[in-house]
Amino acid sequence: MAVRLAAGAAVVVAIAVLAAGVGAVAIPLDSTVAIALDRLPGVSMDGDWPDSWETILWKLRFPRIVMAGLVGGVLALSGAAYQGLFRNPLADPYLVGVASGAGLGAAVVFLTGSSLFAVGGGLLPIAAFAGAIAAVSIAYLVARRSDGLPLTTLILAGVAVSALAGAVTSLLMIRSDPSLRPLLSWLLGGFSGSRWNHAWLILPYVVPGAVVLLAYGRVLNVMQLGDDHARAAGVNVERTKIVLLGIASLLTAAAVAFSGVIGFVGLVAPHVVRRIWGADHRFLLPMSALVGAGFLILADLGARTLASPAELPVGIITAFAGAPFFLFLLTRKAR
Amino acid sequence: MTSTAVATSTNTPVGTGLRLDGLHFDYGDVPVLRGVSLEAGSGELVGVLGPNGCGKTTLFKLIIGSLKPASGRIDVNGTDLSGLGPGSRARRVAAVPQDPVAPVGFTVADLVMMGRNPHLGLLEFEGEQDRAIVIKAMQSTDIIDLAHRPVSNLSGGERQRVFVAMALVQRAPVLLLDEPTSNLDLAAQATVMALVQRLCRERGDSVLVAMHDLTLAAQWCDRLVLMDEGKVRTQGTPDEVLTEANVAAVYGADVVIARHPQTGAPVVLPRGVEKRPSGPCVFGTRSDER
Repeated sequence: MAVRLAAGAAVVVAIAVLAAGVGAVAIPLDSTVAIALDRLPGVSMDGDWPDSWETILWKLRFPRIVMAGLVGGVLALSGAAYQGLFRNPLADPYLVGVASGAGLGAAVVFLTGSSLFAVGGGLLPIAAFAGAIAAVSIAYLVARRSDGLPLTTLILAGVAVSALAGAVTSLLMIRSDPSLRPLLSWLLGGFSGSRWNHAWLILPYVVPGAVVLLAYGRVLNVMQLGDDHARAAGVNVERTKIVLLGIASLLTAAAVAFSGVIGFVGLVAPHVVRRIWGADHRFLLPMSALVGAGFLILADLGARTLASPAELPVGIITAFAGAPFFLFLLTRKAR
Repeated sequence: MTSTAVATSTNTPVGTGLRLDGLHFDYGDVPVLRGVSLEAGSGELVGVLGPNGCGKTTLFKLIIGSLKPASGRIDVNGTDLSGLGPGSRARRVAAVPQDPVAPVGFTVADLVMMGRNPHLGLLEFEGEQDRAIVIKAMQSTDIIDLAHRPVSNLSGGERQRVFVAMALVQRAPVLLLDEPTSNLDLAAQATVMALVQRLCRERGDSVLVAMHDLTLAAQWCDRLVLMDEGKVRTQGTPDEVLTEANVAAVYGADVVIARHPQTGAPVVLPRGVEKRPSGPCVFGTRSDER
């Protein structure tokens, strides 16, 4: 298990290094590695590469790849946790309203406060994050009962909150005119604006959140037996639900705040892992994160190279790659 | 014996097993349990009988802690369960619910290992000792050959033994089984009940089994508790409980009590065939029990 995870991590790093060399300016692999290692404390590489390569890698491609890896990992990890929590393989991290809440928050910033938006890119992620958390909180508060949290009610409440937030977003988009385009491309997601400070801003959520989710692997396995049986086997069912829902939603909101709503990573990555290696959440959770990270780094590579010099929203790439694959999985299930 | 080692290393204190005292429970305005008191001593196999809706499943949910009683006490070896968290409760009471879910993607050994959950910390992985306990439980429930099979691909009887093994590795002095023989064929019913009886004897556990099949219960259980409308109607040996009058009063069924030709245990048969009595759960009309 540890060996497979280490191999998975090595593959993600390899994908990241290879992706960094590709682009409008092609940079050979040895130079990419040397430029990357050169910045590490105590390491000095000799080599004669143009300064521009260093700028391209460290200012543009590396932060972008790191963000794509982080967001992909977070979405897949949250997706795996949601699927385990809801005992439903079709759950994704946007199930209870994170995406539409973030979309509404972003729409409000885009369409009502263009002057506020001008203050700095800082307001958009805050509004998206707040919208996401607000949507999940409303769904949670509606579904909560004195004796626990019925998950079916939570899903239904999430669907209703999503529909409402989506309707308000559409209304705002119709009532305003030309400023709609950047919102649309934000909704589809992307990493063209990724900077190092984005990574630093989401890491305080990602690292502790991921540790907590990974720690719940065995408990999530037992939760697959159903609430009563899990309780009989010593699981604090209600606390587990709240912790997993809260952390997975927080992580997803942090990811969405900077990258927009990127679909299919959180749905497909856990499926791939489950198909190949089984359903043990102690392995499924970390491996899903690695698969999601690798997948989104590749998808972002496609986003910035396929239509170069134009940029495609990465959400289109993940949907193009993810949706047919998912349909294929569904046809196999039907047999 | 394979399971003597299991029994000797449990931390079961000498005590009285499971003791329920005056349990009341309501769903909203509807009273479900109205003062249920019963005991299951160490090494005693107690069958809980009664028509659908009599409160058997609610009673089990109270004991495992899914529901909280409005009043009354649940003791295991003298410890009140009400103050215990889920983990320490699960180290005292293990349960196999009715129709347990067999999750996709897990092997038999994985599933049995889930029973070690209350003994492990959040970040703790199972160790050699846990693996040894799991192997012993799979041997004593005769599923060791299935260890690497997916749980979702087992027959009903095999699956029920797997869930019993999972409950065993919790090492709890009290074991609850909610209709462990429903949906099983004749041979599998006998296998599961014989297994439960043997484990109860060898380990000295207090075992409570909810059952619909009165005759099957009479063959295997030491004592029977007959429930009706949220109360214990009568309890005692199978002979004392399974009388024509009691069955008629609780089930509204007109029956005759015969004797098993070998064991002498009561066998409940419907009287004649000319007419079907009416009632909420008439014994003998549920096709899945036979």
